[in-house]
Amino acid sequence: MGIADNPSWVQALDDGIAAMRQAHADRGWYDSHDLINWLNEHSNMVLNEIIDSYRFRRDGTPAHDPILTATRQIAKFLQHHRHQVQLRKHISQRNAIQTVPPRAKGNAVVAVWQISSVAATGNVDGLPNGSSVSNEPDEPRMPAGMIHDRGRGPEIRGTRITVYNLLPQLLDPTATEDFICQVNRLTPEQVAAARAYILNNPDTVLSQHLRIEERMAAGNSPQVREKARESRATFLRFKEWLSNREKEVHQTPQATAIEDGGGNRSGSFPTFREWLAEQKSRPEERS
Amino acid sequence: MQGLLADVNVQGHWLYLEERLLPALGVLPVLAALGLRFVTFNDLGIPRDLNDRALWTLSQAQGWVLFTENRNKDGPDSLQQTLFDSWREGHLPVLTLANKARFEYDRDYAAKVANDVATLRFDIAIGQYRDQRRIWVPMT
Repeated sequence: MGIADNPSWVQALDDGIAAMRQAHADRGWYDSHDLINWLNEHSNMVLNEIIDSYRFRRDGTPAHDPILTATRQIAKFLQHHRHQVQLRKHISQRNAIQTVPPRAKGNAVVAVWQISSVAATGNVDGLPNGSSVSNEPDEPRMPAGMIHDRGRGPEIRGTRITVYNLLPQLLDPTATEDFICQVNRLTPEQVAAARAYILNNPDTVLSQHLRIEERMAAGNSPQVREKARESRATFLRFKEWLSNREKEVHQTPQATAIEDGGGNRSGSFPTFREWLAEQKSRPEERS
Repeated sequence: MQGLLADVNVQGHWLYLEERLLPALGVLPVLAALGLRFVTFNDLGIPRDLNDRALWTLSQAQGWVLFTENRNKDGPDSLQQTLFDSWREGHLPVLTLANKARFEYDRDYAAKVANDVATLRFDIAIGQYRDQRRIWVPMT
């Protein structure tokens, strides 16, 4: 069972994230040890439960460092289930933890998490509806590395896919992570980066999204719509003519000679010019 | 016109269109008769992160109608801006999938898109729609 499967652990971590946002809003980041230290102080029982769950490996042998393993698993939870944006890693200090046996304080390399305007508690899997912290910057926050802006809006680096391309799918409860990755040829990490960007910059993204929707809603001009109807009729006439022509060809001995050994009958099709010429010779049929 | 070039942002959808929808609608013989091809970035060796302006210029130069989903900001090198400042009558239009999300779940809508794409391929190949910068599909 993972961290995300235990409601009391999730609740404690959400409380911790919210506390981190408040306590470290000025500097704009917190690290995994900050959160561990907070849990140690405010939800010690939960912290110990989490650590205990990593005391043994899957094969039953004792884990080398269950606290470090727990710290890493909490980091994974922050990233994948709470969409926290990792800025970098650095060395920081963890306070002594009241565990059994007691564990002294120590230093380790841990993830540094960005503090954004997204409320950390409650519904962070969907678009946020919580309050913003007071020091929200004017410029959108970019998850380190994977998202950049070349003037097309926030875009997944190395692709032409913007967060606006993904937003409708991310809002769709039936669109699974696998589906989004597969259809857009993206890795889960790239999708996570886009999601994190959206969650960290909800106002900017939604306002641009609405502008895009407005532009799309305008659609084609009346002239194009009218022309579309004519085009469809012409296309269907050509299709029918082609079908009839093919039947005729197949009824003649020469037709089989046109087919190649691989069954490719493309040679039996008329060119457009042939079709057009035939249409011109029978103008009454087009009226 | 050589055919249609699927943008990176609709590449997965186009495969469905090409492999499932168009054959089901029985329009492939028509498109084959016109010698039209469908290609992807990979087929042409185009970088997946080519910017809009470069992509539009390449498409026009090589005779590809770009099929895309236009969901980005209107920056200086955006497709919208490129169409505004570089498009002239006679250029190939850009086909834009109007509602990708709906295409994903609405069978009738997807069929409508496929029909319109086939029709447009046909019409553009015979010289129509060269007076349009962009055409949304479905068209109506």
